[in-house]
Amino acid sequence: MFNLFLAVSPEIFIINATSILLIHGVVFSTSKRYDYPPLVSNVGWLGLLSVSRLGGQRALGCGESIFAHLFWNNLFRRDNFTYFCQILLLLSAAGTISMCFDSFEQERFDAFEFIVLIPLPTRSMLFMISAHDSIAMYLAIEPQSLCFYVIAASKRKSEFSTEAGSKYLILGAFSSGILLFGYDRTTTDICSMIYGSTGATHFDQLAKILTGYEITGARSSGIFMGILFIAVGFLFKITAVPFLYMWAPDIYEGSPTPVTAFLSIAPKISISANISRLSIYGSYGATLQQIFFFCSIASMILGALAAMAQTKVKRPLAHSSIGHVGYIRTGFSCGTIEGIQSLLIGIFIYALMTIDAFAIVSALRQTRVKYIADLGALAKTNPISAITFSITMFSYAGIPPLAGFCSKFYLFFAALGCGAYFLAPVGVVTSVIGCWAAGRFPRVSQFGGPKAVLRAPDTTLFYYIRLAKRMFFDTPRTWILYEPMDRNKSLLLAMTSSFITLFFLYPSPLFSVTHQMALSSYL
Amino acid sequence: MNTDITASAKPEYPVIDRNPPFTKVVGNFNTLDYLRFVTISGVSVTVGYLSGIKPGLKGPSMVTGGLIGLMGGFMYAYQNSAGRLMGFFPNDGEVSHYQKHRFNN
Repeated sequence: MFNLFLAVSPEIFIINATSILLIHGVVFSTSKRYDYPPLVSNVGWLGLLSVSRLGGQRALGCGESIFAHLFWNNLFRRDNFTYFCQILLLLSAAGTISMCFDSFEQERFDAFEFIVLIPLPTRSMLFMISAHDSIAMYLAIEPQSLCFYVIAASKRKSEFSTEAGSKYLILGAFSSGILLFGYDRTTTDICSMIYGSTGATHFDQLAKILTGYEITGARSSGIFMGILFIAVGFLFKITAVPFLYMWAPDIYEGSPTPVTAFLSIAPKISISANISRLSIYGSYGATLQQIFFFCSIASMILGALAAMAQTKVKRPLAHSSIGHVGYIRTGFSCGTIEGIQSLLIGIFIYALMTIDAFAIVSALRQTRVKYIADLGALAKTNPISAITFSITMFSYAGIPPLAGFCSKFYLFFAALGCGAYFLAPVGVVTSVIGCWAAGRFPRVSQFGGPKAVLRAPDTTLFYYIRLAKRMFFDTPRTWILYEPMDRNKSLLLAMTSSFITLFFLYPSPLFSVTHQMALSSYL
Repeated sequence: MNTDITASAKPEYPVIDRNPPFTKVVGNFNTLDYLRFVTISGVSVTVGYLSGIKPGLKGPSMVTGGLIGLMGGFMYAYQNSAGRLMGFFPNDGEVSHYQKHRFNN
């Protein structure tokens, strides 16, 4: 009987560890004997230990690759694809927790519950990645979303944080409703969707029923609408254009910086993995491909253009997240093994770049840096941070030979390989479109008229490269004394920056691993 | 409802027990399993102690870390031991032990 839970022992471990941490926090934070100690760093280190132990166990492999392939009445599936996504998720969670220690101490944000609320959605996302049934998937999405709403609003004294949590709650509830609408099996007074049309929720069964349904002409409005709603629900969740993307920058701006980092990375990993499994395995067809192509293009374009008017440091990164969702969707939209491989490469490199960027932003926030204009003195007072930040921005922009260029190259290569000849050039153009658009509008607004554009000085560039320009070339408008970065963030930055910079020297391990993972998702 | 844990893929190694009971799995812990258990517990206790210095909670934090480490180490060791018995991990030692046991009986 005990063996029933072997396949989910990592999730059980993390749930139990979280419960122990919560009890520890509650008991000792209110302990008069210990003088009501602040427990963020204490619980943080123990939480980091739990997540890292699990990630290390997964990464070492330890012969788990074929252990319990399908289990629990075939509700969940474990394969190499699952393990890769879970390892990446656990690394992201560990990176997020390690960002928290000193920044929360500096901001006097003494809420150990925040640390506890990172492993909890991680556990849900681990389930979600391995879900092989619609109901299992939905039951995993909801606890994840609930924890995200709470951590987005974790700074109770901040109106921005409360606003971010409220917006995320509305966005998440709406998208969950749409997602469930596609699968609905409980109400009888609405039209049948996937379950009503097919009687199936398991991905294997859906694959048998839906394979070639568009080709054979056996169309059903219920199936079509169900697939549409499911795709839309997922795209809502990852803030893809045009589904409620406009609230994502507000949510990311209002949330604490480590939360923003977590929200930028973790849901993208879990939802991309899940929708890949559902769509590629269960129900991929021309309809779904067209939806995802459109959303990829729209996300890339809007992510490139919308950041040009931003003046705060976090908002361009939020728009960058939207744009990168579009790039990553490119790989998925192809529907080929190379597409899934490029998706995995893209997510991996995106996760590391985002951890890097937000670790620096978190360190800067400790010195009350909020606006891009405040970065003017960074290169003079803290050149190492400025160089690291610049490298990360160049990687985001896709400038060779950094890791971001490699991921975009492979994504566009996969798109061309599947015949998406329009999508690949759009991706390339949007990678550079920020240069023209970001440089044009401020000149027009400042000096007036299109003719003035030619005479106006080049005050802006890429919104990525604009940050580097602000740091290295512009005269500082405000001289801010940047405090030294703490050891945890320094270590995190050293690892991620090294990877971003040196990845091009030896990319084959990641390429071969992701190829194997992509193959296993098709088996 | 089928709650069988065995995989749809066949085990690579000889199956000694398809669904081993708890006592058998724990009894099958080898030196490496105990080493993993002790290492993970030890590291967790150390991390707990060190993280508890700053807030002045060395003892309680060490206990909390120890609990997490004991649980994690035990689950990890159990998973490996059960995997060897179910034929998913290399199990030469188990095969020779149970073959000898069968001959002796």
